[in-house]
Amino acid sequence: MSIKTNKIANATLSAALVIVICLTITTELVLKQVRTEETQEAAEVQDHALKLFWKLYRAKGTSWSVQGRDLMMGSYRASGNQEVPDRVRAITGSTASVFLDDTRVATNVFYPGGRRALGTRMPATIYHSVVVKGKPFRGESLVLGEKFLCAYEPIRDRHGNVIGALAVGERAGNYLAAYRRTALRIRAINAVLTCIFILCAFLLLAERKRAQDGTQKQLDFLQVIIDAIPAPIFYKDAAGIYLGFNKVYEEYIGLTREQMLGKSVFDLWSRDAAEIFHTMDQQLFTAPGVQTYETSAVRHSDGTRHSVIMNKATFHNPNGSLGGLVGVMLDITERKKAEEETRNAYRKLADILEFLPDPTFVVDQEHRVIAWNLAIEELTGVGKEQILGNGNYAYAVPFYGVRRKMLIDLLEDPPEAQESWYAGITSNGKTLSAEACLGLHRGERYLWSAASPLYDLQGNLVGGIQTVRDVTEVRLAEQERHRLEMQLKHSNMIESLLTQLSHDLRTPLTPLFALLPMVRRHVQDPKLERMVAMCEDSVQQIQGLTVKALDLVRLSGAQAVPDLGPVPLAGIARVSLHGCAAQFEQRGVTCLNEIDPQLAVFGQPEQLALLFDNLLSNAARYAAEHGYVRIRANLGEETVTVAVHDDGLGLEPVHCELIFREFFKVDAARHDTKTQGLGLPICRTIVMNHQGRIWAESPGLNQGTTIFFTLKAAKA
Amino acid sequence: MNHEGTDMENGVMIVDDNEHIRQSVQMICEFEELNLVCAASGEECLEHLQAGFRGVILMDIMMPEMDGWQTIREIVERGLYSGNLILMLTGMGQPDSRMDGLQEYVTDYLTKPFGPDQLVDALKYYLKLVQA
Repeated sequence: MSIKTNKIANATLSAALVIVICLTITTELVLKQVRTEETQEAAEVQDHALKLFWKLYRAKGTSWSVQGRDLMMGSYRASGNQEVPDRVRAITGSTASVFLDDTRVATNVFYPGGRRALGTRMPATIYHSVVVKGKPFRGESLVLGEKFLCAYEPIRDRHGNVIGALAVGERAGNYLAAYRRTALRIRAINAVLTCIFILCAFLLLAERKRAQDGTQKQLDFLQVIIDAIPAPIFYKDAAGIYLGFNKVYEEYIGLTREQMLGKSVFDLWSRDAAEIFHTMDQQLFTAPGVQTYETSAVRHSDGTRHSVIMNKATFHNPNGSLGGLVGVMLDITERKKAEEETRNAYRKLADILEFLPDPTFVVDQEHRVIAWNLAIEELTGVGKEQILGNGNYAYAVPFYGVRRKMLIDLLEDPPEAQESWYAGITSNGKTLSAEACLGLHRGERYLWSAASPLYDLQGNLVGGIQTVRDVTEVRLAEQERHRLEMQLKHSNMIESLLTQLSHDLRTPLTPLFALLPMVRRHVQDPKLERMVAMCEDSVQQIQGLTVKALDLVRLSGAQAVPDLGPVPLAGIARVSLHGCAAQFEQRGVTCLNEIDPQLAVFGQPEQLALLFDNLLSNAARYAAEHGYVRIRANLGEETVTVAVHDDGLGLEPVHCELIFREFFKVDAARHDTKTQGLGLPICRTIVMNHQGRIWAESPGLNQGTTIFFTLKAAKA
Repeated sequence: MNHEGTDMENGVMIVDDNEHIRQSVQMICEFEELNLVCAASGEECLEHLQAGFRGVILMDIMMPEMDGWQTIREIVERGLYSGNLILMLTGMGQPDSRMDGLQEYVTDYLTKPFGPDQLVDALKYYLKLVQA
């Protein structure tokens, strides 16, 4: 708008000036012409009056002369004689005067009081021209202070000397009145027009000033606006010279407006940055429009290099020519850092995913595989190069042999649909989990899976992640644990039952134990006595069974593993030997305790005593009549190996292991009512409780038996 | 309640819920001419003691309602222990957790099943001890 206003103002002012000048020139020319014509007309009138003046004097005489102080024409005294001048005036209406030298000597010019202006002088310039030089004069002259159009001609004597002059005149006002009126009117019109033009020009100038002020205000406002924009903004002309900036740009670059205005990129930037900016500017000027590019060449005022996105656009002058460009710098340094950090975080995440011990894969929104880690490669035997990018349930093939839905495909499905694919599927929030037993390339495996949806920052679903955990070992262990628990429960039940049975048997056995000996003592009949003795024997056997069974159960129970401490081995054996002394004596068996008294083992004294009780009782029973039993112990690196040897019945090789089974009896002992087949199983249990080993060796039947067992050695 | 003798002092009391055991002990004691009092429960034992019994008490552990240990606790708490010795009849041959703090009132343990000689030897020995 301001530009348009300026143009109009300029044009109008110019036109007004031209018009005024033309008008003035024209009117002046016209006036000059009018004046000339008026003057010519006056001159003609004066010439006519002057001719008449000369004619009237020639009628008085033939030549002019000065006689005394009088001017004479012939004899006619012209000085002081007003006849001729009055006659001229009467005929032509002009004033007429006769000069002697420079003094008016006859005239019809009157003072205002009516007295003739005789004796007044000719103007010096006219005198010099007419009297001195003898040349006629035409022009304006002041007569008694009044402007006259005059005509002077010299009066010469008969010798040709100028002695005076004749002058006629008309009041200038009489001849130039029309001219003056016209001139006055025209000039008045000119003045009015000039005033109008000046007023118009003034108004236009005022408007122009106002427009300029408005434009300046607009420019100031625009500067305020761009200063308020938080991004650095600059603009240049088509030559690439900086025209302006906003404050942010100044602060960003660290230079003042004065330092930058009128400069080029090469003045403000480093060489490399300037080359880039210049090249890009030239490209934009070559193909005007919008240009966007990213560069890291920008030097910030703090001295650091920043990454920016340059947005530039060309602008055009009002005449359509290329005006320059305006640019906005968008600092993306922080964004680039954040992107770098995001990339690093993504890389770390990818590494974490890759090396997760749990087999894991990730799919995108179209259910194409985008991650397939090492563990799942190992689990399935399918490398990531075979699966990455594949969709259409390709990831199910390594697990199920066919393309089908997996957990990761059910995240958005209703529960009943989920159940139809996985029995026992559970959900925890958005996470689904399920377990299945599948035939993989590594054989049948129990696989537990969990799948979760993946969302972007806006909460849009962008894919899913599924972790597969091979829980085969856990499941097998659980099954084994369950089996052991059941076995333990069963054992506990048997233990409890046997314990109770053993205890409860004692109560009914007590009257038998207490009364049968009494009965036998008072029975006289040998048959009855033998019968009672048989009963007593059976009761003894039942008693033995209950005691041994209880021992075995107690030693096998959960509380059976003893707190082990150093136990002197020879002492324990000696006590047991003492307990079995009657048995040895009864069969004439010698028992040799050859254990080094210094030897000690880690053990529980009661259990070790029971161990020796059973072994020695056994040896005493199966040693040869009047034979021997020898107890020895060898100290090894960490263990003590004890050997209880008898020289009696011996064992067949197949029986060497069987004798440690519950209720097993070799043939020779099968009908021995004093044995229960539980002694050696008790021994085995005790040794096992001590983390030792027990075994039997025999060269064969009737060649004796040696029972070995090991215990952990201890300092005595 | 079965008072098998008039002598309520220096006698033997069998406290057992099993009648056969009570009768077996009773028969052996008759042979050995020992004074015996039978109690089929802890309550009966306490009644005999309150009635003035003093001597050797054969106390079964496992009894319904009031077991052997509870009976001993009552004996002690009621001030009836003085002048008596207690032999515990146990099937396990092992003391158990219920005897906490009461072992000092038990003079000996007699493991079931026991023979007549074992019983008689023990009774005679402790009768002499209680008389002393």
